[in-house]
Amino acid sequence: MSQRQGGHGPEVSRRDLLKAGGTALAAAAAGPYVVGVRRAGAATPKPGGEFRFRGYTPPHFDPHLTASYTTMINLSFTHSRLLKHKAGPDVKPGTFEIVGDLAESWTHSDDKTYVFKLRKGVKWHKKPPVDGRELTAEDVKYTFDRFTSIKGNANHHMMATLAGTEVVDKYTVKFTLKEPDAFFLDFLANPMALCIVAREAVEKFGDLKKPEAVIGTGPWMLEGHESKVRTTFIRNPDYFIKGLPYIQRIEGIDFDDPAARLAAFVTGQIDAGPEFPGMMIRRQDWKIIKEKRPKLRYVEFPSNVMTHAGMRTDKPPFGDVRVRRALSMAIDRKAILQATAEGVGVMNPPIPAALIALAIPYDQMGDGLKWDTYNPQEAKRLLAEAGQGGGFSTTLEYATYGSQELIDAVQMAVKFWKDIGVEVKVVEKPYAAYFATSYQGKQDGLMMGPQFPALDPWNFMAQYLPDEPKNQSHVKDPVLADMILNTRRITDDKKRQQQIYAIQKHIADQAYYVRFPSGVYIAALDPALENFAPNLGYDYGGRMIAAWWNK
Amino acid sequence: MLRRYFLKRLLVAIPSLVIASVIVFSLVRLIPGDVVVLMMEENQYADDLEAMRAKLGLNRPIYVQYFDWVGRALVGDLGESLYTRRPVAQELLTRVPVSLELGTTAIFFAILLGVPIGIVSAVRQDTARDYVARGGAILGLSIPGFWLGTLAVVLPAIYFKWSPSIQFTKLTDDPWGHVAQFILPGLLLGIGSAASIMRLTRTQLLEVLRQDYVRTAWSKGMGERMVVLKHSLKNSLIPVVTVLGIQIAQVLSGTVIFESIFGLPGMGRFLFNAITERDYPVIQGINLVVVTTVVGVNLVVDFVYAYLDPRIRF
Amino acid sequence: MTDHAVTVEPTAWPEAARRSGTIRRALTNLIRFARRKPFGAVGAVIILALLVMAVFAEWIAPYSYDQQIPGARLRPPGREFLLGTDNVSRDIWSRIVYGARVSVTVSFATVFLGNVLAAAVGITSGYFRGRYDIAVQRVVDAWQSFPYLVIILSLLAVMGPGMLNVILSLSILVAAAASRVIRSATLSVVENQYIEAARALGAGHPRIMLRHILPNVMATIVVITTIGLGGIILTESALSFLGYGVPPPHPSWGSMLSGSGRTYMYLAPWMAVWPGVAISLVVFAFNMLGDALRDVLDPRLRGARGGAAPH
Repeated sequence: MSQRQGGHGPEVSRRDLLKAGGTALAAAAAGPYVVGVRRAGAATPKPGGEFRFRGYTPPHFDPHLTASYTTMINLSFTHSRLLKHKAGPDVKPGTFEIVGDLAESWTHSDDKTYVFKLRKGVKWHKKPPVDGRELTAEDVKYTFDRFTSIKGNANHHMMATLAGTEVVDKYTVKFTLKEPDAFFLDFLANPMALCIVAREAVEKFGDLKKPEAVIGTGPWMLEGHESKVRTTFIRNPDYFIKGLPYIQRIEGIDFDDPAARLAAFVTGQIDAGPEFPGMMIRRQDWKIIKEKRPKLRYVEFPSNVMTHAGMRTDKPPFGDVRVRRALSMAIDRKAILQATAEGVGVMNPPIPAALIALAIPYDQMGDGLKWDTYNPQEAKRLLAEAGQGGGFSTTLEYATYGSQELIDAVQMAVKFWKDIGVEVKVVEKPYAAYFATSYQGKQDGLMMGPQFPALDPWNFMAQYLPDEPKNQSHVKDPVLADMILNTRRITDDKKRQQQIYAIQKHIADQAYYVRFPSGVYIAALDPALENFAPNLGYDYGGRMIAAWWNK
Repeated sequence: MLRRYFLKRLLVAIPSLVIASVIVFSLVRLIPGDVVVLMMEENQYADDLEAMRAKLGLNRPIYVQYFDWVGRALVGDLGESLYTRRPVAQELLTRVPVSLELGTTAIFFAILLGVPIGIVSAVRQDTARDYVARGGAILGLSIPGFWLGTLAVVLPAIYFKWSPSIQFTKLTDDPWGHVAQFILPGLLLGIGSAASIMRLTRTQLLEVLRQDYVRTAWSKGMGERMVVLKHSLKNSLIPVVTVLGIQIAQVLSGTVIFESIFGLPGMGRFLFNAITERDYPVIQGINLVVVTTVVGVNLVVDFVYAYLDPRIRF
Repeated sequence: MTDHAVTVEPTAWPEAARRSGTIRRALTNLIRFARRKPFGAVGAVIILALLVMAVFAEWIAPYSYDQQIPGARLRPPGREFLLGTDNVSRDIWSRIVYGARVSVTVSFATVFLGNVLAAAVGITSGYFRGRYDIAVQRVVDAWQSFPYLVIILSLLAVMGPGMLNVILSLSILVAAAASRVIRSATLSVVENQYIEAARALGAGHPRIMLRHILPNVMATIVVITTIGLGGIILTESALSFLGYGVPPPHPSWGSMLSGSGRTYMYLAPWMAVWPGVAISLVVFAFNMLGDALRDVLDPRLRGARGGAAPH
């Protein structure tokens, strides 16, 4: 049985954060970390009520034709997967324990076979053409077949090892893999790439892009969708867990401007923090929010969005590991945190520190730790040793993502590199051009930008394999590639964890990327909302299922 | 006479429209960044870009694409968004009214504020009132619009615990609420135009008032003054009408900023998003609609001008 | 759009100055200008200060614009830092001073380029008339029907970010509007008899356009240039808000105001106030000076365009 264990204890204490991120700094104003996660109390949940949050308009609603968070967040309310991540006040943010959603139980008879037993009596939404019929193993097979065969599925690599899906009986599905894949269950639990969809909807509408085709088995049903205005969901009375969900109506309101979002939050027009990804507020706004809306509940936890700078290790001078280490040592990460995140953040090993169960504890990184420590003199010495004593010049491509923090971080990094004699010319690209080129490693010198905030380790490791599109540093390291590919085959949890740690140590020592620290998110919630705990990832719906209004 | 003038202007407008459509079409094609690659979203690299391109008709020669587009536009089919596959015309139908309402409110405030202040300023030329009015007008022109908008949304939230609703209210849901949500952004958007109109009204009125026969009548006293004022206003407002044509194009530009800040789902924001996403059909469709509107409005303005001032109808 | 023929009558004042040519005479005229148009004089002083800041930034600013002063983060305005410091520990006064250089560069370059283009188009159009004129005017018409932001955003999306690209796209915009006015001015000059005379004497077209027409429409150009400068600064700040302005490290006032200024609005309002004041003051000054120049140089121009500055 491959089940993951969660973290230890419910609260995100300062010690935990320190262990996870090494030097988590607190600016004088911030004070000790605020613990706001509440356990399910003795009070009886009251059904009803409406929940308003800042929503997103997706390009469309078909999970097999986009990987966009805007789609996934919306589908997390309406659809179910075989497996999901545990949610609730006793889950520490940054941990992702896998539990069954549509799957009642599952077995793993050999390395390459998984058999899932589905819940009985799960009903599709009462919407034409599916009309509330029961979900069966056929639906699962249909979904996986479509996922793997449809053209234009940006996520299809997740099921690269899947050989076939088989219906054993009405409630039993068998997956056969081409080779052992330790991350198979992680992918099944991913929000919401592998949510189960209905054949009739695809046949009637051609694809699942239109709002009318959003038919799932999830706790809410799509009530209305006005593009770039709002999306509303209404409670599914036939949800397979009796009594859930409690909240009657959910409204996701779409609006662009951060100043307007803040004003709306301060005046109580939304029930949870308006910033991405999980009902957050910006740290700079915390003071004013505490003044104007004093009775809120706050939860802090590190972000898994890691910005890094990649470089052409296939071209001089970046092929020399000393040059890479020098570039990393030149950066004063604490100063960047000070300037962009009020000094509050976590240092990142190659897997972001926010993923507590997977990231190697920062102080265990070994030699890699040296290269992450600010030491401009040593950096200059290394450069000289590598024959670049006179410095060199290069370019850095990036897109602003509309983020002042990123713009500032880039400017500061360039300044730090200038101090050790490396002249970096900044080339700002519009997002579309950046995504098509620099993000896929087609830059000339350096590129810099935030990486996709995945929840599973494979995503962060796979990019070090040669010929992977996201291998921005053009890493061609056979030892590392072997280690990564082997990880897939390790079935023992503890051994796999050790391997993942070893991989991170190797990557850190080779300094293939200059990694920057991540900030700490602050989730802000209305105190009357019971039984809700924020977490990373797009599973808004999953976290809302058992929440209720205590007023 | 009038009809010939109108037809003449119409004939002149058509080539402008054609040229504009070519500009619209080509401008967008020059934008680098492959829309198909971008559509294959943020994290992974997808296969079969060529198939997608063929499906979207992007692999045909460019002039074929142009004539196909123009032909369909003439019957109201502006194509589909490359992203959402929803018809552009349908999206515009919901959004154009919003921008038009915002623009109209802005022009309304511009006239409401600009003309009276302009009159006062002219009549009381070079007095304190004049200086204050002119100073205020220039100030209105000098503050960046997005900053005014930000302050208008944020300050009331901080000091009065009130903020304009971020939810867009439809006409059918709540008529008063629907109209009310345009007041604040319309006012702010109109301030710049109000300043221009004020200055123009002032100078035009001054021109007229300076003429001898007017001065004589003016000096005769109150009753005469009223008559003179009415008469002068009619003449001086004519150029104001023509300036409206320019103002409309400018106001339509300003909508994107205020639509962002006040959460109004209008054409400006729609266009801005489309440019970022390289959604060609949407960009072309919106540009076409806007340009046609502006050309149309200018035509109407010219016509009104000709009606008011017979000298123009050569 | 109807064309309003604008008559340009060289007034007595510049004539007098040209004839005498001594410094004392010029100074007297300057003082007379200041007395007649106090607003314009104030505007001129402010612009002079702006130019001084732009040219002598290195001497005036105590720090470099990207210098991170250790231990001086988010300081309110005070004795040590005149206008306070920002979130990256940079001195705001220094950034305002260097920002003047950016504003001056972008606005002057844009307006210069735009008006050169506009003069070329407008003068030839008004001089040659006929089919060339009609064709050109249709293109200008079409161009002007686009809301300006649409054109700029599309051009910038094509060319990519960068100060040069901002200047190029803005100048194309300026050119379209200005060419109209210059054409009108040309139309009235062309009617003058001495143009006919010059032609009869065998002067070629370029010579006539450069030697006779250009000097006489210069007054018009000066006026629209001055007012246009203010508009460009506002447009650049609007572009920054939308994410298309002058990119870092150049500290443009627009990006200071729309970027970290807005983010830190509550914690450090001074980060936004000073660039906002700078922009407003300078635009105000350009408008006042432009108005005054128009009143003095070319009173007939008052009816033409109203001097709208885009938001």
